[in-house]
This record gives sequence, C-alpha cells and structure tokens, in this order.
Amino acid sequence: MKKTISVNIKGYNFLIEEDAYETLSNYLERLKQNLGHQNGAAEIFEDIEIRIAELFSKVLSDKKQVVELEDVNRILANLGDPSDFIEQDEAFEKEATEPNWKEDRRMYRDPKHGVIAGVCKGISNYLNIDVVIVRALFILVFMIAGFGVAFYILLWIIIPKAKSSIDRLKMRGKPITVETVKSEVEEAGERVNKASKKFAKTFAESETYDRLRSIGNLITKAFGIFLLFIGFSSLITFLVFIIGGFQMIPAQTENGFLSISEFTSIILSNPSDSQWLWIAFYLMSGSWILFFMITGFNLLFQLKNRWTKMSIISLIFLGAIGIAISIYVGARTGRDFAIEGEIENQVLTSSANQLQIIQETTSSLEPHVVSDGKFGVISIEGDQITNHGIHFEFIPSKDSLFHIHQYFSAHGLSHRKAIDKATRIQHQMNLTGDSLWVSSKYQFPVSDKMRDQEVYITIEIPNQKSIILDKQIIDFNPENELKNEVISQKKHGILYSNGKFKMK
Amino acid sequence: MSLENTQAQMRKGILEFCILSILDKKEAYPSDILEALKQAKLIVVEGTLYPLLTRLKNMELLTYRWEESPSGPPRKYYSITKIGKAFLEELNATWTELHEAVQKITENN
Repeated sequence: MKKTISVNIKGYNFLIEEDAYETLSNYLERLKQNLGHQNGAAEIFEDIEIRIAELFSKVLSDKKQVVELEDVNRILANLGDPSDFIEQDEAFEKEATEPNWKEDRRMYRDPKHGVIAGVCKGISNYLNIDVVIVRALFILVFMIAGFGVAFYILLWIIIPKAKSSIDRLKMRGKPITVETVKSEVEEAGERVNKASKKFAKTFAESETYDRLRSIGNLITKAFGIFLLFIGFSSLITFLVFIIGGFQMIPAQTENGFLSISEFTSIILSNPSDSQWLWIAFYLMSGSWILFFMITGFNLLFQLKNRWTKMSIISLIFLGAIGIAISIYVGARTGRDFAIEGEIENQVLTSSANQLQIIQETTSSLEPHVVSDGKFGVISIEGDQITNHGIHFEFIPSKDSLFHIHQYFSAHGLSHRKAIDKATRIQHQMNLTGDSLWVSSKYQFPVSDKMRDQEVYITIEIPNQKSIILDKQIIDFNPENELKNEVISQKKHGILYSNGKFKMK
Repeated sequence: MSLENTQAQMRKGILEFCILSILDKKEAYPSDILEALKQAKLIVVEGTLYPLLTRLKNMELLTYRWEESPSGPPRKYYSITKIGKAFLEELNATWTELHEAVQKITENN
C-alpha cells in the first residue's frame, strides 16, 4: 500500500504516489535553480509544469487513477534534465534580456516612401512626426549655402537602408498623440515610483549597473543634443558671416565699405591665394559644422556603423586640409613681408624759431596726422590705396636749423622690391615760411598690395628752438641729452633723451 | 567537439525557424509543436522547447491565448505575430541560401 498526495497544477487536480511526488518536486526544484533569475524564468517554469500535468492527464484513465513513480520517471526523461536544456539556452536568454524589439527601435532610411533616399522619411518614422515637417526643416534651415545638400548626403551614407520587412517594422514607433503622450507620462510616473522602491531595496545588487548604464545613455543623448546645438549655432554664425560679414573690415571704397574678398586681394600677393583662402575657409567651417552635427546626430540616435566613423574621419581630414591651405597661404603672404626697404623722399630745411606743424586732414575719421600705431582707415580710390597716419620722430639738430626728413618704407620679398614699393608711396608735405603742412593721408598703388607701407617724418630740432604740434610745444633740451630718460612728458607724448618722441 | 555536440548545435539553430514555420500554418499549443518536432526528429529533450517559446514570445514574434482543455490543464495556444511573419520570411530566405551553399560545398567535395 502506497500513500498518495493530491496535487493541483493550474487548476488541474490529480493524485500522485508519494515517491513519485518526491521525484517530481526534486525535478521542479532543480528546474527552478537552473532557470535562476533569467528573463521569463517563471513563465518557462509554468509552461513545463503544465506540460507535465498534461502528460499526467494522458497517463491517467478511469482504470488508472494515480500517477506512479515510473510514469514520472518516463515523463521527466522525455523532458530532459533541466541542466541539459536550460544551460544550452542561457546564451540565448542573456540576449533576450537585452532591450527587446520595441525598445530597440532603430533609425533606417525609407527609400520606398522617400523622395531621394528616404532620409527625411526615415527620420520622420523614427520620431513619429509628419515627413512634411522634416522636409520643410531640411529645406528651410539647411538649403541656405548648400549645407542641406552636404548634410543630407552624409545622412544618406550613415543611416542604413531599411532592407527587410523587419527593419520596416522596427523603424516605426508609436504615433505621438495626446493619448499616447498621456499614457507614456503615466507609465513613466509609475515606472519611476516602482523603480525608486526597487532601487531602495536592491541598490547593492546588479541593478546598479543597468541604472548607471541608463544614466550614461541619458548623458550621451544630452551631449548629442549639445553637439547638434553647437553645430547649428556655428552654422548660423557662418551664414551671418557670409551674408553680413563683408562689411566688417574698417576700410572704405567709393562704393562704401570694403568686402572681405577685396580686402584679401589687397593683402595677398597672388590673386589665386584669395581663392585658396576661401576654399580653406569653406573647408574649415563646413567640416566643423558638419562634424558637430553628425557627431551629435550619431550620439542622439545611436547610429553605430563604419560609415559614421568614416564620415567623421573624412570631415576631420577636410578640416585639416583647410587648415593646411590657410597656413600655406599665410606663409606665402608672410614671406612678402620679409625685408624692409626705406627711402628718403625729401629733406627740407627751415630757419624758423618755432616750427608749426599744420595737419591737413580731410577725413573726419582720422583727425590727427600723427599715427597712433594702429591699423588706420584704409580706402581704395581707383588704383590707389589710401592709408592714414604719419610717424613722427624728433632728434636734436647739429646746427641751428630745422631739418625735416621724409622717409617712405615698405616690405617686400627682396630689398629691391621693398624699395620699389616704398618709392611708389605718395605723401604731401610742404614748407611755407614757419609752417610745415603735413597731410594725414598717403597713397600707394593697389598693385603693390598692402606691404606695411609707412611714412616717417624725422625732424631735427635745434637747440633753444621748438615745434608746435597739436597745440603742444615740443623742444629738445641738450642739457639732458646724456641722460637716457624721459625729459619731457607732455600731454600727448613722451620725448626721450635719445631724441625719440613717442606719441601717447 | 563531439559529434553529439555538433548535432545539437545544428539542431538548435534551426529550431526557432521550425517553431515559427509550424505556427505559421496554424496556432498550436506546446504539445502539438513537440509532436511535430519529434516526428521530424528535430528535438531530443522536450524541455528545450519552452525557453525558446518564451524567448520568441518576448521578442513579440509569438503571442498566445489560454484555452480550457476538456481532459487536462488549460492549454496555451501560441500563434505567430505580424513581426514573427516578417522574421520568418527573412529566415526562409536565409535557409534557402544556406541550403544551396551547403549543397554546393558538399557536392564539390
């Protein structure tokens, strides 16, 4: 006589012998252990229980009312040992614990429903917004200066095409309506509530890793948005510069301010250099902007493929080319400043007791003849460049006369060229009686380019005599000559004992 | 690697494919599926099926409904989803490719 036990599986009752029950419950215990905490463990356990119950129901009949040990052994042998089939699938199960399909929504291009390559449609699928809005944004924001085209082509390359119908299903998300947003928010609230409770409970357990990962994800996305933001603001700066930046050079022509291209043409020695510089500028700013946009886009939507990497690398490469070109042009231009040449244009002599320097100025922007050492207002009239500001130097005279030297200087690739350029400078300076008329402006040909052309006027001041410049008296006291220090500190300048006068 | 191991690996890979194929014809509960797989000698231990079913269900390739059984516990009837059909289509294509590839290679040898 054997003892039987009544068992219930999912509402199905049956009787089982005690030793059979022992075997069965041992098996189920082992099954539970093998399943561990993997995804869907409870469900698998339940399914197997049901299977066992079902096999029992087939064994049992009106004649046989109780499940015996041999039945159990046979059934369990068919099912297999838990370690045989659970372990096998552990790798699978681990995979399954990764975010499943619904969360694993990916961005794909949708060429079937797109106009060109389905980039806009792909983005609209991913974000669940109308494709018209995406296209309008692309056209409105990007088509200016051709950036939309470049950006579109890059996205075309890096976003994979939806090849299969699975991809197609993956790329669609829930539509954004008031209802879904509401339920999302409610769900999120619930999740946060649950999670915080759970978090408090199991902080020390493996959950921490996942949590950190999701925080990391959030930071990555935020950084992606930040990079996109930098990209966009750089783009806007670039556009503002292209459209409005031509007026930023402090130089005038008859037609108003000088444009950047005109300005570069009077600086750069070679006409093609200007074009190179523009290419460099476009390369640098273009790759800078696209680099930030693509990187941001990539972080935000997690497009990890080799095309993304290659795009970024080639953008860095293009930017480097731009930098290299501008360095080359800079060095080439810099060479043209290598050697200074100076000529003495004229020497005037005056026996006046007090020489008055009269400033002839036509420009209200440059009220003073004396150069302040800064970049003056440049203007172009015909084939002549006009610059303002003359350098004055005062040194002691060896006799009782004023000697006024007018020097022109310029820079060039060779001394000969520098001298040639200096010779072509024109500056008005006349002596009438006790007055020296000095023009505030000087001119040189546009074809000479701007090569640091300067006008120096050196005046030898005799002992006991003085000069009036800007209503200030400048004199030279020989008693202090030996002392190499400041001997006259006037309102508008410093006269040094070595004869140098420096304007404030 | 033993022969058994290799055989098990080969079987496991196509098991999911076969489960989806069976369910593509009509919905079934695990015992039906096991019957079909056993007839085809694809499955050795029954237990293997259950983790797979759960996995496919979690991937949303399968869905199920409960049905009362006249003679035993309630039955879990599995059926294939829209995503599952798409997935199966892809697997079919892959299988054809593989089959052809294996034939080509084994013939040549």
